Amino acid sequence: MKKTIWLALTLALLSLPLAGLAESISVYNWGDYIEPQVLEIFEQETGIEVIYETFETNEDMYAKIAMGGSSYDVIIPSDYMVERMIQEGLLQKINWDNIPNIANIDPRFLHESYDPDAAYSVPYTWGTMGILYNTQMVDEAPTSWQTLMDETYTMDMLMLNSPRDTLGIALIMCGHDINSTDPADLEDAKNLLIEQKPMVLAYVVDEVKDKMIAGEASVALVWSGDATFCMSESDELDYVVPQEGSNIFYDSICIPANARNVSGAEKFIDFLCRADIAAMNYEYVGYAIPNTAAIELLGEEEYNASPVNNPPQEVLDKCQVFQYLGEDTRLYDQVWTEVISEF
Amino acid sequence: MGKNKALVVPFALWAVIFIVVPLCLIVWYGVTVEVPVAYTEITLEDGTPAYQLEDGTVTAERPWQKKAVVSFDNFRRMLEPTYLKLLVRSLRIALITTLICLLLGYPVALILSGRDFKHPALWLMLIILPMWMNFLLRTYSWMSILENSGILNSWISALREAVPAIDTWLTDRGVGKRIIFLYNENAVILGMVYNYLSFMIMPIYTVIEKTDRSLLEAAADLGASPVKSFLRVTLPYSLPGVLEGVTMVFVPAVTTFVISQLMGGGKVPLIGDIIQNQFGKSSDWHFGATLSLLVMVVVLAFMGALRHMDREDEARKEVRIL
Repeated sequence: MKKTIWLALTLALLSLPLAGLAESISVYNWGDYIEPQVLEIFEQETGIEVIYETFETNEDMYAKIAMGGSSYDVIIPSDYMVERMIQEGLLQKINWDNIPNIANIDPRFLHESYDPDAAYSVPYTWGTMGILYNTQMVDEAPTSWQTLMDETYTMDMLMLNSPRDTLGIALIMCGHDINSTDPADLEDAKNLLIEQKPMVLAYVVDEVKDKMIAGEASVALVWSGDATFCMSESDELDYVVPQEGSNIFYDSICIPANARNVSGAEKFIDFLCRADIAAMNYEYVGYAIPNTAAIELLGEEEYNASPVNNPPQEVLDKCQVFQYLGEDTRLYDQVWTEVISEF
Repeated sequence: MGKNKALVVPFALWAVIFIVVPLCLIVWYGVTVEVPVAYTEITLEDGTPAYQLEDGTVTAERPWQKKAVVSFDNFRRMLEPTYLKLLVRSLRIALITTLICLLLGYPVALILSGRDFKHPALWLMLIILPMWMNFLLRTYSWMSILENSGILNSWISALREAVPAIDTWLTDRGVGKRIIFLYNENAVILGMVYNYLSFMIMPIYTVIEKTDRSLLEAAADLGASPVKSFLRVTLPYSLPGVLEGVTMVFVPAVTTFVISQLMGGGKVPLIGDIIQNQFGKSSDWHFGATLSLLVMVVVLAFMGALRHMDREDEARKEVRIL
């Protein structure tokens, strides 16, 4: 009996802070995707406590939100996941009156196909897919995806072991839409990749960074975030978004439909869009940012010097976002399995 | 008796929660697929379009929910050449790995259990010690040895620079500046043999060690040559250890996915890689479960065959002793 009373008391004490002594918001973000100091500054300035949790993949995050067991106030999904979550009613519309700093965001990054009315999401970072190459090992800098079909690089190129990404690039090379679900288009892409296979040294994901830094291969298909990391580790590496266009991806800040503290979430989003904070965040995270005011603060020239941050506008115009394909994702998976199991 | 029964409860509970329930889940996922819920488009009284689900609920948004229905579609898909080819390759690589482990491991076990061998405990320790290290770490070490930019290649190029004769000899035979050791089937087999060899040595050693030595002495007394006494005594008595070793190597080898990804550079996918993909990137748990069931059946059949061999062998041994 005594034990029960103690237990009840302890529980009561533990739940006191949660009961509303201090206002709090819970944030669910990718691992290593925010400058930790940013959270501290926010807590100091607003007095709102940030309960911060991280996830590894969009799917992990989606599962947790869709199950409905936990409630978050701010989440940072990628484009196609934003599209899916809007479709499934898991996000709520953002009240722009409470986010004045949205003015800092370059309008060309709004109204993307995953959120055409720019109602549910605030772009946080963006990136592209492109070719990372070793300037000491290639004869001339690549400008086209055709480099990945060039026999000069036989057993000297790395591809991504990721169905959607690699097939997406193959679709571009065949002149098809990056989101095509037409089996004939995917058949073309498959045949191209099978033709390419004898030239590929390896299909990798995270290992691409170590291998490119070590000089294991001359060219590699990479995400721009990985390119930034590799280029900071090795002077011999450079990055290009090929002229045919590529995939562009966004990670966006959203408020889940079941958020508890919407006004707190709005304050946090507005805070992240503030120029000085976005600049600070950029220096830590390393992905390109859509925040014009922050880029000015960082020094436009220096920021734009990086090929990761500043692909030419005419190339960027040809870049497309991956859309959520629902059931057709399976088709990609099947085609990809056929590519890698071809021997 | 009552006391003993109580002792079983924790294990039984454990077995139910962590073995029976997950197994049932795998079977359930394996025999079902997800399909979108059925709905009809209707028009409400005020003229707005809406959607009505089968159970009568009406929503304004197009329904996106899915439900699991029993279907054998995934079994049909599993039998497509793409997946069968991968299964055959996985079995082939696992068999080769097991064979190499046996050829390397049996002599080691035999030597270690020899009477003249000093400090067998120390040597056993040296064999087991690497197993305490994470196998990922060990596989990564192999990668940094065998990579194009790895240790072995840098030694070779240093040697070629130092001794021009070797360089010309190699160049004449069409060997490039860097030799590609990784990213092929042989590299995958190497990684597996290295990781699983001790699983072969240990059970064989334990069995040979326990064999009654007086049998060998008797064989010698009766004039059998060492080779003959090995073939007639040691080998038959060590068979149970061999069978256990084969099981302990073959089963993980047929289901592995990390070693093939790292050593094979994604170019030698095994059935385990495809299953892992289903639960990760492709997030098709249903098909992943169906493939897992397939592998389970194959492994069970393999172990059943081994068990059968073991039993026949026991029977033969008894006859011999009689």
